[in-house]
Amino acid sequence: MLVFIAWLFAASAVLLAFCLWRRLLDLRFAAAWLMLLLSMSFLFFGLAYQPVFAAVYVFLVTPSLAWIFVAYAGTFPTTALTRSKRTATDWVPRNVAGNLAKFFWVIVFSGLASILSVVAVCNLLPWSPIDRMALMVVAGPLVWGMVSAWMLIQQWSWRQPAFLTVIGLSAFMMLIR
Amino acid sequence: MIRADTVKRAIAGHSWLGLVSGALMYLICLSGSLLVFSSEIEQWEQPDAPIVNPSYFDAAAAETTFNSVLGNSLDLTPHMYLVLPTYESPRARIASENESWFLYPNGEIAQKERVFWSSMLRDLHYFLHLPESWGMVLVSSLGAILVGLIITGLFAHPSILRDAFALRLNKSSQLQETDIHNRLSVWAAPFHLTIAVTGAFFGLALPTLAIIAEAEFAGDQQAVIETVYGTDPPVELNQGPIAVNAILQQMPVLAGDGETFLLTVHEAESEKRFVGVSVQHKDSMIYSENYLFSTAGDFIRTDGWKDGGVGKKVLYSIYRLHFGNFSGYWVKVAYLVLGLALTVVAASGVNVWLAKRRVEDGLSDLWAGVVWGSPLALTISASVGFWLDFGLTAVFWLVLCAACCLALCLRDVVRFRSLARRLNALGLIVLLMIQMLLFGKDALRSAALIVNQIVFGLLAGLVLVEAAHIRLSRRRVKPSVA
Repeated sequence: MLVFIAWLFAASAVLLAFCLWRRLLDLRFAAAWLMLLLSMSFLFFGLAYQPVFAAVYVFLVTPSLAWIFVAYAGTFPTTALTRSKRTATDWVPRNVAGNLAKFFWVIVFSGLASILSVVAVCNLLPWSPIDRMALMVVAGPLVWGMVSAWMLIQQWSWRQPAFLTVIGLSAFMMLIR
Repeated sequence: MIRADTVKRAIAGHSWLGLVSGALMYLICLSGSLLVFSSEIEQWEQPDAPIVNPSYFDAAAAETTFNSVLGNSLDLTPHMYLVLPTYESPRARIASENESWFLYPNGEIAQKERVFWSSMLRDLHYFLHLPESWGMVLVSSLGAILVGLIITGLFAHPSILRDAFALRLNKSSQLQETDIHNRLSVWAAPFHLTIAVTGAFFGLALPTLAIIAEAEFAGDQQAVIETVYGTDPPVELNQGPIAVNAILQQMPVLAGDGETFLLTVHEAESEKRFVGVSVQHKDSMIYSENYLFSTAGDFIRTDGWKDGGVGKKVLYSIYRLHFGNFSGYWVKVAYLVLGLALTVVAASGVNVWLAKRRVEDGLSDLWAGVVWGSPLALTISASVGFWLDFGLTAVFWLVLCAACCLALCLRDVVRFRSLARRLNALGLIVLLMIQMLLFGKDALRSAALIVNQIVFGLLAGLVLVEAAHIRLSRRRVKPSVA
């Protein structure tokens, strides 16, 4: 019964979002209502199972239901779409060195700096070693991804690599001291 | 409100990151989606193996057989396993670190386990068939890159609310691919973020632990591992037989309603043997709680995963969270669907970039070859895996390369996609026929039936998509009234 109610709340949230999107409904504080419905879904899944399971169920149920509405609202082709013109292939990408440098900074170096910083910062927490380790291995990739995204979104300049170098070196010094 | 130039840079960064990782990400997502059903696929590879009802498992007979295997020093490895039947996987096995043999319900040894294709699939997902150590680090780095892709993707999509349910497949191929990419990725973003972080954990845990060892334990990695997993229990030197029956009889009292699924003999090659019994508790996300015993069957202690601190629980929950290995088949089906959605997101992301160029060239062909060749390579390697005991990795990569070459030779993306869809459908039909011919009724029971139903579902999906494309291509464009 609890699971059914949780599904019902998730479905209501998606239905409400769809009605708002289609302008079938005009609701004040729509985002708050949506959050409330999803929270209720999480709450009932949590009562039926446990919070960890509940979070995953909400993540699974919401997109599954939303895609049904996406398919319902979709416009499908009635004829084959126009194809692009065929040309010869330029196999060698332009600016290979620039892309390699970008790869090094955005992926390799940001990864190294992120993992070192996360380990260094987590070491400062007054937790048990195992709790700190758990945080490190979960937060590490998350911070790495965020730093990579930040480097890509910022206007490219020497400041970002310099900032990362300072952060990475500080973390390194802190770890080896 | 996000500034226009930020959006522009986010789009450029998202494209760059996607192109750098596109093909590898696609292979990992495709193989990972299928691996959600890894236990079922293993059973599907050998549906004629003896089925053992957990309620009628003869532990006393299994004990005799297990001890006779442990007595043969030629078969011994540091860990020896007695895999117990469960309702999800009703098979009993005796296994070393290299080989595995099924057991009949009466405890006698049956045929050897053959799981070559699922092993190949697992190696593809874990290591991309590269050497394990850095293959796993590469795959895990792609988890972090996926986090970066999700974040840049959200910044690159200022009309996220306006387009929340938009699926415009009838305008241009660029808009078609963009809408597919965005609708699948945005709605499932929290789930995909979970998969990215938990996926990155596996390979990055070891390098991170190495840094922790250097920083906190004077370079002693064993000390870090012992902090997490605990030390081996003190045991008297003992070479006596393993009291399997006595141990298993204690489990309902010790583990309550948990499901006992594995008995491991640690240090099997030495005199310091002890036994670990793994129990899965349905009310917890942790992979298992391990109950340690002496070989004579005296309970020593647990590893403390279930009742341990938050950190311990988190570390031991990652596997089940990543592979959807909890709450039964419906969660697995949902993981399969959302995993395949991420696979489509990876493919359509590159398709968007290709469509934006407004030309078709060899790159378009090559990408179509990777996208449609990979499932074909999986299907063909699965088919030959029923006869070949080796070389499935080579078969996979050869078929994938052949598909790419075919796409490049045809020089027509639309024609190649259609041909590849038909070949994939044919491959799935052949796979189903092989199952029916080789295993008959066994192919239509328990886990084999589930996997065959999934194969049939994929086949039906392919046929429908191809039929829709044929219908569209036969329709002429109506001249406009104006």
